[in-house]
Amino acid sequence: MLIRVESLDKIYNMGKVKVSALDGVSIEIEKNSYTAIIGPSGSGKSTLLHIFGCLDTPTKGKYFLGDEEVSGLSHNKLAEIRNKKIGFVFQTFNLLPNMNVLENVSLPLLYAGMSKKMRKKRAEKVLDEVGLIERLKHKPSELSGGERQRTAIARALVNNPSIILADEPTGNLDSASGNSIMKIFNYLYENGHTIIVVTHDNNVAKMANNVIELSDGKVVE
Amino acid sequence: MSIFYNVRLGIVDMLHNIGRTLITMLGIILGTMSIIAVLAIVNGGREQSLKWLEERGGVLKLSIHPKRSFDLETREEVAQKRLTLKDMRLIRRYFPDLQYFSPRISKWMGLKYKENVYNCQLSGIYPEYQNAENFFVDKGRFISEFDIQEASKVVVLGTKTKSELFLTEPALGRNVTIGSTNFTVIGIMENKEMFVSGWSHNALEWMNRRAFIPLTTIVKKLYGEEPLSSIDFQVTSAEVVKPTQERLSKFLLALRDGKEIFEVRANSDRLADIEKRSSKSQIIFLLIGGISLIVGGIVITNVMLASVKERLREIGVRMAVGAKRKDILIQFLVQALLVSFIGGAIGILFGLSLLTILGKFLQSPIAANFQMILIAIILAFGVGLFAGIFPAINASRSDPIKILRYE
Repeated sequence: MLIRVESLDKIYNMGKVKVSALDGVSIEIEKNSYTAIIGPSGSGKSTLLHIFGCLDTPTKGKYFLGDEEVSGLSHNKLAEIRNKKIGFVFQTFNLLPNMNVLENVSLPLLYAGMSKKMRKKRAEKVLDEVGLIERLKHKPSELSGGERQRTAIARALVNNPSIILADEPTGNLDSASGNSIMKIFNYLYENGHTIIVVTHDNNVAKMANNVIELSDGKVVE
Repeated sequence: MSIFYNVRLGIVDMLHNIGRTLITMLGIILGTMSIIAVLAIVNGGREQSLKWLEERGGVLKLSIHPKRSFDLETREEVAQKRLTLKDMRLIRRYFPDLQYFSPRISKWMGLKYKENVYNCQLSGIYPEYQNAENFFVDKGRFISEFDIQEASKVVVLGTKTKSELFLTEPALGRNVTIGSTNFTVIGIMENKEMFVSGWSHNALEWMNRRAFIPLTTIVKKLYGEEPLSSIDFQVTSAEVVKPTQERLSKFLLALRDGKEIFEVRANSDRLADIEKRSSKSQIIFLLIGGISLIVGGIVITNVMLASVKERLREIGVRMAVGAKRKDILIQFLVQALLVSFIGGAIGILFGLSLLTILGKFLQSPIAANFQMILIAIILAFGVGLFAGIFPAINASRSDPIKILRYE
C-alpha cells in the first residue's frame, strides 16, 4: 500500500465559521495505480490531494505514505517529502515566470542539493520524455498552455517521485492539449508511476483504473 | 542550495525591477557616501596635523622652556630663571637615554651682506639641533663639534634668509655681518614647506627665515653668558615620552628648590589633542551617516516586505517542490544583502569621486584609505542584514497551501 489515510478530518477556520472540508475519509491507494478523485466543487477533493502532497496537514486522522506516518511531521521533514517523494501538477501550472523551461524543471533538483551538471542532465531527460527538448530556453510566457502543463509535468517527474499528484491538470487547456496531457499520464502509468488525478472531467476519470468519488467531504461508496 | 544560486537569483530579480532596485539602494548609497566623505575629510585633517607635527620634530621630541611669567622679580629669582648649560649637563648625566640634546639661544638680529640687511631669528645651537628638530642642512654643511669647540664664526642660513640677503647670488663661502662680526656662510638649510587648508602661504615659512651659528659663538663672540631659550631633545620610543616628561619635570623642580620655573613640552601632547579632536568630529559625522544608513535600511525593509507579498506565488511554488523555510529565508536575505552591498559599493565610488571634487573646492586635505572603505562596506552589510531579516523571516513563514489554493 502506497497511501493509507484513516478517518481524515480537515476543518478550515474561516473567521467565525468553521468549514469541514474532509469528514472521516479513509482510503488506501496501491502502488502503480492510476486513481481519479471526482466530485462536485467543494466536495473536498483538492484538499485531499493537498494532504496527499504534504502541502496541507489534516486536522485529525492519520496519513501513511509508504511506511512512514506523515501527519505530525515538521516543516522541514514535509518539505523533504514533497521534494523527494511527490510530484505535483497544478491546474494553473505554477511555473516561475522569470525562469526558462530548463530552470523551472530543475527547481526540485536544486532543493534536493544536486549539482548543476547533474540537474541539467536529469531535467533534459524528463523534458525529452514530455516532448519539450526543443523548448529548453523558452520562458513560460513563450509557451502554449499544453506546453506549460508539460513543463509542469516534467518538473513533477524530475525527482523520480513515488506519486504524481495532479489537480485538474486539463482544467485550463483546450481539449486537444488536454488529450495530449492525458496521454502523458497514461504513458507514465504504464511505465510504473503511481498517479492520482483530481478532475471533474469524465473522460479523464475514465482512463483511471480506480475512481474515488467525494461528496461533502465524505467518500461516496 | 548554493549561495551562488541565490546571488544569481537576486541579481536577476534586481535587473528585473531595476528602477525599484535603484530607489531601494538610494538610502544606502547616500549613507555610505557621506560616511566615506566624512571619514576621509576628518582623516585628511588629522594627517595634515600629524605631518605638521612631523615637520616640527616628530612625536619623540621634547623640549624644556622657561615658563612665561610677568611678575616683578627679585634678582635671585631672575638668576634662578636662567636655564643654563650647567642644567643641561646635569640633565644629560641623569637622563642618559635622551638623545640629540640641543640647547638653543635665540635672538632677533640684523644680518648684513653688502647693503642688504635682513632681520631674523638668530639661534645659537649644537650640531644635534638637526636631529632634535628634524630640520636638516641642504647645501654645504651644518655646524660641527669643532665649530662649537672653537666658537667659529660660521653661519648656516634658512632659504628665505639666504634669498633676502644674497638674492640669486651664491652664498656659500661668503661673509655676512652680524653686529660687527663677520661670519662665513657654510650651509643653507632645506626649504620647509607645508600648505594648510584655508591658508594661502607656507605655514612653515618662519623656519626658513632663520639663521644658525654655534652656541659657543653666540656666548663668546656676541653676547656673553646668556640663558638658554630652550633645550630640545628626543626620546628613543613613543612609550617613554610620558614617563620621561614626568620624571624630567620632577627633576627640574628639584633643581630649582621646588619652584615651577621650567616646563617640559612634548610634541605628543599635541598628538593627543589632534586625535581627540579628530575622533570627536568623526563620531558626530558618523552619526549623521549612520542615520542615513538606518533610513536606507528602513527603505529596504519596506520594499522587501512589498516584494515578498508580490512574490508569494513564487514562494509557494518553491515550497511545493521542496524548498525548506531556511531556503526561502536565505533567498530573501541574500537579496537584501545584495542590495545593500551593491548600494554600499556605489556609495563608496560616488563618495570617492565626490571627494576629489570636494577636495579641490574646499582646498582641504582628504585622505581616504582602505580601512574606511572596509568600515563603509561592513556598515552597509550590517544594515542589509538588519533590514532584510524581518521580511526574509516573513517570507519563510508563508504557508504554501494558502498561497496555492486560491488560484
